[in-house]
Amino acid sequence: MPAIDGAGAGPMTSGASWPAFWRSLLLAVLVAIPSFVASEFLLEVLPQPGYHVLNIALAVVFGLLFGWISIGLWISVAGACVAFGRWWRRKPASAAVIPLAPPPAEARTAIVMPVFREDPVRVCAGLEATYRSVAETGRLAAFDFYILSDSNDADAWVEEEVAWAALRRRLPAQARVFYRRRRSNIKRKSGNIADFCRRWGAAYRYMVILDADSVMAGSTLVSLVDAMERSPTTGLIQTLPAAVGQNTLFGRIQQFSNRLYGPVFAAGLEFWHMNAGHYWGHNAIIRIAPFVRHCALPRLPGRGAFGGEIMSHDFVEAALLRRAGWDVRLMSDLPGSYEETPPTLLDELKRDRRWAQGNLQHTRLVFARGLAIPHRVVFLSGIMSYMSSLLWLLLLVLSSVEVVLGALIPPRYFPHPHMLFPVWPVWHPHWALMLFWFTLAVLFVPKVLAVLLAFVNQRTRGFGGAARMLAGVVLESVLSALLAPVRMLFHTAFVVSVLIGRKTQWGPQARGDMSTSWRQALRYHTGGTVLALVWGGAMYALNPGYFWWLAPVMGAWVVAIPVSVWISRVGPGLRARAMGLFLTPEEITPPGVLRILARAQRECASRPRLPLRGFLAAVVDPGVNALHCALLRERPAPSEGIALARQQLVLNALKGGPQALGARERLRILMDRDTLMLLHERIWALKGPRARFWLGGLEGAVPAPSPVRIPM
Amino acid sequence: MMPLDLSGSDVIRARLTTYLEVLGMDAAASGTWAGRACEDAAYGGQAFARLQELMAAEAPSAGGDEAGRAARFRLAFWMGLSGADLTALLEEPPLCRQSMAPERGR
Repeated sequence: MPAIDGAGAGPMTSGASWPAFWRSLLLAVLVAIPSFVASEFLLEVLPQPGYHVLNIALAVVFGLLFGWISIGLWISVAGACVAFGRWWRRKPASAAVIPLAPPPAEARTAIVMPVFREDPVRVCAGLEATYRSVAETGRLAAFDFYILSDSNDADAWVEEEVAWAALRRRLPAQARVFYRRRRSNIKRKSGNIADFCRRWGAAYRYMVILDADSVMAGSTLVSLVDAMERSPTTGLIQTLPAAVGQNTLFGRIQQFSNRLYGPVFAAGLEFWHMNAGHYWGHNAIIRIAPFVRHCALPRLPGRGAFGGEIMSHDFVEAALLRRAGWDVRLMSDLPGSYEETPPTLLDELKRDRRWAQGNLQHTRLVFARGLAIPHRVVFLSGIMSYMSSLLWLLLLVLSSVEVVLGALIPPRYFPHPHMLFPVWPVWHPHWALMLFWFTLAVLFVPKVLAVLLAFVNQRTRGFGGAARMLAGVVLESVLSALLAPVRMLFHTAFVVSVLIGRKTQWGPQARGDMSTSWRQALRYHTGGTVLALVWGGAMYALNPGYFWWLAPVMGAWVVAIPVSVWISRVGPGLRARAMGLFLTPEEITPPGVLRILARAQRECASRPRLPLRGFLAAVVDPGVNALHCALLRERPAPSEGIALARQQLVLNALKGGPQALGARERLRILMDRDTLMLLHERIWALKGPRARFWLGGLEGAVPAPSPVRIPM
Repeated sequence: MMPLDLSGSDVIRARLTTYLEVLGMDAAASGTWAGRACEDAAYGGQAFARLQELMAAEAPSAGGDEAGRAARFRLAFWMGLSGADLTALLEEPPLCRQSMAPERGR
């Protein structure tokens, strides 16, 4: 188990450890006892008395799974009580906390947005919306904005710069919106944030971390700062981001369930975790000084998927802050915090592949010294989010093995010697059904509670009215039931690949309206379909009665290909919206910051595009070239060897054109101002076909005279 | 580089004009600039070096080498920025370095 330096360092600034302990204990009891009873009940239900080991294994796996879903139930029950209590007392949401006098000048806040090969136009539109919304609060002077790029691709780098310059042109000239790109993206997002803290963190009291698709209202940001000022023992406040901006059917259903069920669940998390709350890596405010002191992440020793950099850094940073005595709070009822979700099932699964590795890596940190119990529970929950799929599949396999054995081996009526009476294999279908319905109830009670609260709080209008909301819940539940087995199969594969030591690559996250092609769906879902046909067929042949118990899972695998394609499309999503299904409060009454975002995106889309893009634009376009060169830092004169290598690089580029340059050579050119300027000048002075290599893209693109060509 | 360069004053002038139009200059201004840069230039490289000199002389802020000043001129022109606005655009927050706690595990 790795030790993390700094255990016990820092003042114990906050109490509330014992209440958190008792709540954790209560939750453990509430989960453990019903799980044990359910396991015992399953043992009674199983028909083969002779398969002792198999039955025990089935009961243990079932008990673990039952416990896992029970946690969700009790979180939702607590959340519903909290939310009902707030409504009963008419307690204002956290957003409406009594405003403080403007904080002192040194309480400055940096809004930081780490990006990695994201759509820069969307990134800048989101930041523009947040900036303008902060400006409306009158407290803009206390906020600076940073785009922190980790993009390791030449085209992405240049496009980010162009989008940032266009953003700066749209905003007032003195706007403090900065762009910084790291040369080496060590430790990925956590390293990116750490780099910011080392360079500029000392100039700020707080930082608000945004994801590339995050948008936050100015009033929310101001409320967060005020809440931190009011509570000097708080190190981090996480908001509950509302999913917005989805058009595919899958995205819209996820968005609907996020908005309907999410607040109740988050209120429950807030209740159980108290001051050892969650941090999800974005849409959160952090007190920089303790973060710098306590949250430097270690590199885990060892190789394979469990060693190296900590991938899911956010949970760990929250645990480290709390261990050092700082409160980590989830403010579940603070509105004005938004994010986007993956548009398709396959995009969600690609993200889950990274998250699976990150969460399983936490097995090495669960027992780290000094962590608060709720944070150990957070680690375990993250692990179980993916391990539960493996357990579910194991449950199906074990029960199928029992059916196969039952079909192939005659029952042992006298399993023990010297028995007077036979033991008959008794199957209690009504008991099994009772257990089934009870399990379903545990799964669905959280949804029912959320729906009831929507009625109590009079939030149904935000979901299109009571009838449409209920229709949405039914349809969403059907789709969840169809997708759960598919997710289970993928998550199992992810867990197995992590366990055998395969590391995942760090790639950009898909956002916006992407669709899954038939080719992609066939590639990723055919295995599941074939497995279902073989497995289901074998079970039907051996025991048709048992087959129907498997049918919901096998059926979902069989239809996964068309379902995955269909729900990934924008058309069905927009038709559902037109019918008033899966609406969310932000669609019924768009908040101001989202209206600004929509306007910014419309304006960006309507502006003329530059004739060249990315690396080619930085080399050829005199404006983009000037921008890129101006943003590069001055460097000392190079050694003779380096200067000669640069000359050679320029000659190669002139001879072979852009196609002759690899990704690394393109980055080398972009990183050195003198090389880039020399290449720019030489290209424009070139004659013949070599000039066409570079300037061909400009043919016919010389614009009508216009004083300003940059898209703004 | 001369064997690779454009030659002939008309060809060089046409290329310079294209360059300046891509930067966003109108036809009259680009013609004037191209004419001044082409004076006595036998090769494309010479003309673009001369253009850089001219742009550096018009740069909105002094300081740095000639190539840097010329780039600042191009940037200001391209974005339609005054000297003060260009300075504001390129302003970086002052560095105030600090280290994080030891980043190691065992």
